[in-house]
Amino acid sequence: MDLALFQRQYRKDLTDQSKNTLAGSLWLLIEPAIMLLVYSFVFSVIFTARAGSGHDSPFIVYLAVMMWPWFAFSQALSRSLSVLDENMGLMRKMALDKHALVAARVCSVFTLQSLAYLLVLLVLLVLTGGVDFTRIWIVLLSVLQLLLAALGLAYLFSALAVFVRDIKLAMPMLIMLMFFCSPIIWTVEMIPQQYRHLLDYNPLTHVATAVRGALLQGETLLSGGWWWNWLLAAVLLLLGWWVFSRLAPWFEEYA
Amino acid sequence: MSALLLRAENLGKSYPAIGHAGGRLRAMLQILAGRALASGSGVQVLRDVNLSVHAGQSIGIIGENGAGKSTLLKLFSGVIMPSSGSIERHGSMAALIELSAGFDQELSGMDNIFLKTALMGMSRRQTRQHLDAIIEFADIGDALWQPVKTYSSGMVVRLGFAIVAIQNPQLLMTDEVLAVGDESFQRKCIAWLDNYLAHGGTLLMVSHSTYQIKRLCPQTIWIHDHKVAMQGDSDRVINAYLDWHAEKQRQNEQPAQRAMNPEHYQVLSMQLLDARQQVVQEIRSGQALSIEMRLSTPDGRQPVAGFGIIDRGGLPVYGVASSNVANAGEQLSEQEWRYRVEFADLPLLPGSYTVRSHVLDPEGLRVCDSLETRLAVTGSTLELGSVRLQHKWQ
Repeated sequence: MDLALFQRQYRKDLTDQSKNTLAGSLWLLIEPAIMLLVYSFVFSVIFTARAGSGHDSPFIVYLAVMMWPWFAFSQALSRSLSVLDENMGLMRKMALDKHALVAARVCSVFTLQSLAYLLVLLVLLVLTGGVDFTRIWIVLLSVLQLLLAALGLAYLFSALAVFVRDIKLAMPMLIMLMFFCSPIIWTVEMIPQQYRHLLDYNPLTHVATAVRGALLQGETLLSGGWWWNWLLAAVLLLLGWWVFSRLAPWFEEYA
Repeated sequence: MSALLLRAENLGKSYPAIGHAGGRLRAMLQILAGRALASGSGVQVLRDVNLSVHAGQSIGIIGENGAGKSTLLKLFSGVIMPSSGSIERHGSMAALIELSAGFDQELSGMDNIFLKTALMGMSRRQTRQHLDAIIEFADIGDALWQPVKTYSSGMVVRLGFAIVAIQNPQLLMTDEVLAVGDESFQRKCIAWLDNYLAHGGTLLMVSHSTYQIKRLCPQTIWIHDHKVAMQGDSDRVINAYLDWHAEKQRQNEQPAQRAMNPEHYQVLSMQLLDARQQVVQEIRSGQALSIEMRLSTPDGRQPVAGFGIIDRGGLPVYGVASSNVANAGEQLSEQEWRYRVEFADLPLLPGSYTVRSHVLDPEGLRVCDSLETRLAVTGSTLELGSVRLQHKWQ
């Protein structure tokens, strides 16, 4: 991969989003913070949901620790779909390494969201004292899982979307579906017993369990599924890279 | 032979007929399966190009609009994939393709310098070392800090060329780069290219300016109708190309009016002769040429002969009649006269011309008949125009 292009594109993506906006980089926090407030109001006040067993932290904390990893993952997916279109002008005039464009987009989204995540965790620590940093490495590894998977999916879908436009329209729906199918805003305990085993098939469940276990319960809850996630991420990455490499030389004529 | 930088074999390109979603899906699956795309469908924009470029060569590419010149450079530089055939590349190359030169329209000129150099594999530190040279070469002043979308096409090319110039690639490909720059920038570019070529650089240049191609490229390829029509010495190829244009122009025009009084005085024949009295259609610039014509006279009186030379653009170069010339013409029979006009050293510049013979009535007032033939003048020169004027530099 073209590292010079990656660096340059990465730097540009980091600053581009907030360029020429009044609130600047605050936007990074505004949207998730508002969603966090809305969800926690709806769930803890209206539905009177409580964090599941073993969690004595307020629901908003339970929500927040998984919200930002999810934001990183989902935004990397949705924003990587447009990266080829954005640079099409360039691609039509110059031979360049298109892998670097997608990788830079995914990495920049994860960088920004990780920074916001860290900030939120620190605020929660100060406000509630219920955040345990001793097992932060589990959180880092879990986010890395998400990053690798997102990168693989970004390669895959951004390449496919050049040929099959429907993907761009379907992606927001898929992301929403995935959001509601994962224990991010709800707890495993809310699911009827007979359906709970289905959750094991969602890789995000294992990420959520590991992250919450580390940050909120101070425990190392690495399920078998969490370990399998590494394999899944590797497979996605290889598949995405392969498909992208195959299709990349033809983007210019089908875009 | 010096090092091979580029080799194309049976190169072809067709664009897919995009339109319906099913076709796109099928194309995608074909690519993923590693099968070649069916080249029968879609628009064929280039076919059967065979070319080798060796270090130190300078090759011009000419052709009509839409002939496939830019596509060829895009294939060479790897922006698009060939539909058939293969390309082999060695060494570093840089391409200035079309006017936007691969800039991000939203970014300032300065940011684009870093973008473009990053795309070419230079680190920021390396770029900073060359920054002053780039800015000086581009010479676009404070516009450097404005978004490129506000630039004129000339400014874009200035910046693009400046960035490429400091790269000093082994192979440089340019597409109509000089066309939009102003005089001083063109001069700067040509000086740079001269120096680049003198130091072993290799150039592939698409241009509509046959003068610039003659000036910079000893070899030329003429792309016509999506394939190579001719390739070889620039003079030969460019002349053929210009002839083709002249022919096309002529076909579009109304056929010239025939003489007003054909049954009267007539031009029976016309021949072009070289110094050895051989009939020719082609002559080297500066050599001797004669026009010989035979005229008929129905009443036995001596008709007046005339001739004219027209360049390929249809402009008269020179013409004169024998009206006031004593002893012109030789009577062959009661009804036939022969005239001969000789140019000791033909001052026509290389190109193709039309020679017309005319017969006028004995009073020299009316053109009664005409005949024309083609004359190709060969040779190699950087002079402009049709005729070499005698001159002396002082």
